[in-house]
Amino acid sequence: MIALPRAPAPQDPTASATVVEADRFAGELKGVAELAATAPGVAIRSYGGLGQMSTISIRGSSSSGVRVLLDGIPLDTAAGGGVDLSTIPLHWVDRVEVVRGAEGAYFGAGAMGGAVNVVTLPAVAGKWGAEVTGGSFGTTTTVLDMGVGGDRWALLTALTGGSTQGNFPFLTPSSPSIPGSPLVEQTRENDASAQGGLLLKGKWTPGQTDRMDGVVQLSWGWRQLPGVPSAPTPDDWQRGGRASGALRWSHVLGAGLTLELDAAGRYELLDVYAAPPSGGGTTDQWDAAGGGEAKVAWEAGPSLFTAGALGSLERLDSTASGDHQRPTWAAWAADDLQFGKGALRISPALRVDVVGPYAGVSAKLGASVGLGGPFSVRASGGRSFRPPSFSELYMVQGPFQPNPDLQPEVAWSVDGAVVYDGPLGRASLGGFGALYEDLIVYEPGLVPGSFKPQNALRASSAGLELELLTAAAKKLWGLQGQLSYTFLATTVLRGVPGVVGMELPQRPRNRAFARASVDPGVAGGHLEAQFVGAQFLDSRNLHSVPASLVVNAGAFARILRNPEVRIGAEVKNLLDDMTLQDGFGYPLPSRTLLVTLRIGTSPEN
Amino acid sequence: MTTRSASLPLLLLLASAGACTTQVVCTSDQVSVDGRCLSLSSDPQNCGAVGRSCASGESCSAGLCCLGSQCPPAVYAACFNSSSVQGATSSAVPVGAPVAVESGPIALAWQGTKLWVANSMSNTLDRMSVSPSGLLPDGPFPTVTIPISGSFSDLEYLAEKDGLLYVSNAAVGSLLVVDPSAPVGQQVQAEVMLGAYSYPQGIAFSGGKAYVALNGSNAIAVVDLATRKLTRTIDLSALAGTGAGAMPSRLVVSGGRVYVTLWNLSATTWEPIAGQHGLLAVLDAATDALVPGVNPVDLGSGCLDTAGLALQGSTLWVTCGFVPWDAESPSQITGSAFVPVNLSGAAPVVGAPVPVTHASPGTLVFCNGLGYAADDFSGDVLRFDPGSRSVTAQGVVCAPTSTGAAFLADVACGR
Repeated sequence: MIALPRAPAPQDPTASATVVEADRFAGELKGVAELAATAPGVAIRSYGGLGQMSTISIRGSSSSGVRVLLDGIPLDTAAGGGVDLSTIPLHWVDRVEVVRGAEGAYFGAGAMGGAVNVVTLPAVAGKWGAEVTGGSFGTTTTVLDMGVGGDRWALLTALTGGSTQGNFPFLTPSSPSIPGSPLVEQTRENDASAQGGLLLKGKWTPGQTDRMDGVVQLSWGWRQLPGVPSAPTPDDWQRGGRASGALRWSHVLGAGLTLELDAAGRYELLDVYAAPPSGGGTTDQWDAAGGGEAKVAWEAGPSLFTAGALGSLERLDSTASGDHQRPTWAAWAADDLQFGKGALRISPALRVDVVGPYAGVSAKLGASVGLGGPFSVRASGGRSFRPPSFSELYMVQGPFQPNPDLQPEVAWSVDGAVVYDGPLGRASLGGFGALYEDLIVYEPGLVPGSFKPQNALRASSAGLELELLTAAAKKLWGLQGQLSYTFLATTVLRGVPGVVGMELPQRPRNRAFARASVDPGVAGGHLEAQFVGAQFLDSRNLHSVPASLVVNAGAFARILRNPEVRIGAEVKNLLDDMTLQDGFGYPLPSRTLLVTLRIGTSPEN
Repeated sequence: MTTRSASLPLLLLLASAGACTTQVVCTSDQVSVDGRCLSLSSDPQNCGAVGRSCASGESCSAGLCCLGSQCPPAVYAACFNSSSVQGATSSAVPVGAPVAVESGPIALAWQGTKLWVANSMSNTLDRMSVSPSGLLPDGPFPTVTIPISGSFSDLEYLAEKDGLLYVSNAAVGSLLVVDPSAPVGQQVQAEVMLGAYSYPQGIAFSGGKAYVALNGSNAIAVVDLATRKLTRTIDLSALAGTGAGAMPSRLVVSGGRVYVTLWNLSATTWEPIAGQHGLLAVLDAATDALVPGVNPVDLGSGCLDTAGLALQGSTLWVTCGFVPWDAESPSQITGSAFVPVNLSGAAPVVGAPVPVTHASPGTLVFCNGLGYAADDFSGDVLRFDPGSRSVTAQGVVCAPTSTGAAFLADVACGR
């Protein structure tokens, strides 16, 4: 039986966090964005689905205001614009930790709305698997993974690949500028994509006091860029790859005192071709970052004190923004104080980041108090900042002009929740508020038709988050249920005339995810629904995308127990809503059937 | 002595012949006094009558002396960055309070006594009316909301004919037909698709046809107004210089011909190519084909990146000026001028350009014989006297925003 996640995010013990275990969605073709979308507080911005770009916003932040890490390695590139979650290969994911709020004190500069830490599969000796998926619109994926090792070491090798033609049918207005004009069916063109990846992950425990962990991630992807229906881009494409790795050595210095040394690096390539007249040809870019970190953890009495420092260098060379680099220096300290066997928990944290010429302080204070039984309350408040990206500082691309005078964005956040964590499952109901200062937005520049980034926007967000996970009726065919709901109200407090008092675009007010699954043994199934409320397309709130409801369903059968042979099928967009579109007007796939065959070690083993 | 609109070729002939003549040629609303052309509608020294001076500090508007805010606007300006419409006197002095409109006003058009504005960034149209106290919103804004298709909006041009509004929707690549009298939500009556990335801009009418400049696809679309169908596309790409795109922008119909400004800029960088200048295309409105033997009309080395054009008598005035994307000072503007093109003969004849320094005249209208051009860079209105061939006034009409940006997108005559 699959266990429900109970542990909070390990980095910030009193944070508002959701840990999404990929195991709960085994046999389903879900990327990082789809897994994260099951958590409250997040809004996924997909640009068409099926291998196309997707970014994440948390609590109304911009996508560049969310720190994304892959096994602890920051993916926030200096290029800016938010991390494309679709570049993380399917099947690599063991769990996705979604931490909400200004989390710069724990995750570093950039975590304005929150942070997402994607943890890849663990290295477990003797575990292996092979999985192949095929389905609608020429979609295929394959994954092979194998773990080897001994008593003191383990090594995982995971090889993944996949592609899709992406040529799904959709309905679009025959006259897009006339409200209510008849819908006509079109087929998505220039929407294919392919992706491959190799993950190597190992651990070695040479003695009682030492442990080494290492990971190497290689991925490559190519995709066509179809554009919006009214302005298709039949010749546009992009390709890119990432090589990243990290090595960590942990050493127990003495009673309760541990030293940890990390080294991590990343190299990314990205070529984008945008055909004239809509685009300016090919833009080539590479981005590299590397650095080291030292951390001590000291457990004494009620305190678990950690402190550390890091130094890193990031360099971005792009035909659009030139060749630039900047160092990052950071130092932090945090404590996790537990009293009364954890009935009272207080976790303060402070971090100073110096990113190139920008220095800032991030802080967080959180607490949780047991109310007796399975009930507790938690609350936290924090501050974070985001330095301007290289794109914002230096990019010159036609009418888009740089602004070297930009200042960092700043975020403040508070939240609180009532939490139930007991035999019925885990549930929390909370509220939050955030204030975003000096947000960088592109405003019309001096020259007509040009745009230049400015620290022009101040906005607030507030809302409610409900999360429910239960296996209370697991005797009933292993029934599990999940519900998450987010109410988000954003308001522009400062900006150009006409936008003050309006909502931020692409932030739906209501979002909900519900899922029920059964797994009695030889077979199982699931039914889930994702509701995204209406969202504005523009900053003046004159144009909106209507609400959408997507229903997915799936079933599987275990043909063999050991090794486990399992065949499953899932249908995405079961209701075949062909009018679905994202917050940018890109159509989303119609009904999609996927069949998956997996053979591998049994979960029990 | 008053001489009405003699042709430019005649003037050139007289000049080149070295003839001893004292004949002075003035435009239709001007008078010639002692060898000078005077505009009685706007000249503070000759306001309404020769020799009638306005008091110190007063302006002359519509032939009446007036003081500051009491002057009726001679022109209205669409202030893109501050999202407002501002009236100005004939001396290019703001008059009255700006009227706040939706985001990014880019084009103005009169429909009777109503002034419409197309707002590029909010994809809306707003309607204003003129009252004794100035320009006022005619009902709540936006008057017409046009759905956004995709991730951005870009209305580019607005024109009126027979009570209907025609809008260039560059984001979609379409021409919209708007009936302002229709119920809210049903005002957009038709959408003529002109092709993805056709980037439609200026619109002009001839008979039952609309001509639309397709800046992105280097062509002119011919739309039948009765059937609201695209009937023809006239390819202009061959008129561009080597390595350049024709990039048609604005149109004027005169004497059965359609005159089209061509940017003639690099197709990849949108910058001028050495040795190439702004161009004019000439179409026959009867055959919807290029007029043989005259295309393209080279506007000369003093004209880079054509902007606006307007007819005054038989002279077509074209504004030019290239502003680099990264320009921070008006000294970076090149090829800036008012260029006269005499249309009275079989072939257009380009006259000597009137150079402009430290400004880039864009949209141009003639009101009571005086030209008013929007400066693309500063938010200024340039008053241009076609008689004396000089800029006779310049003033800030669109105030810059906090970032210093002040794009004056369009001007319309006061009514």
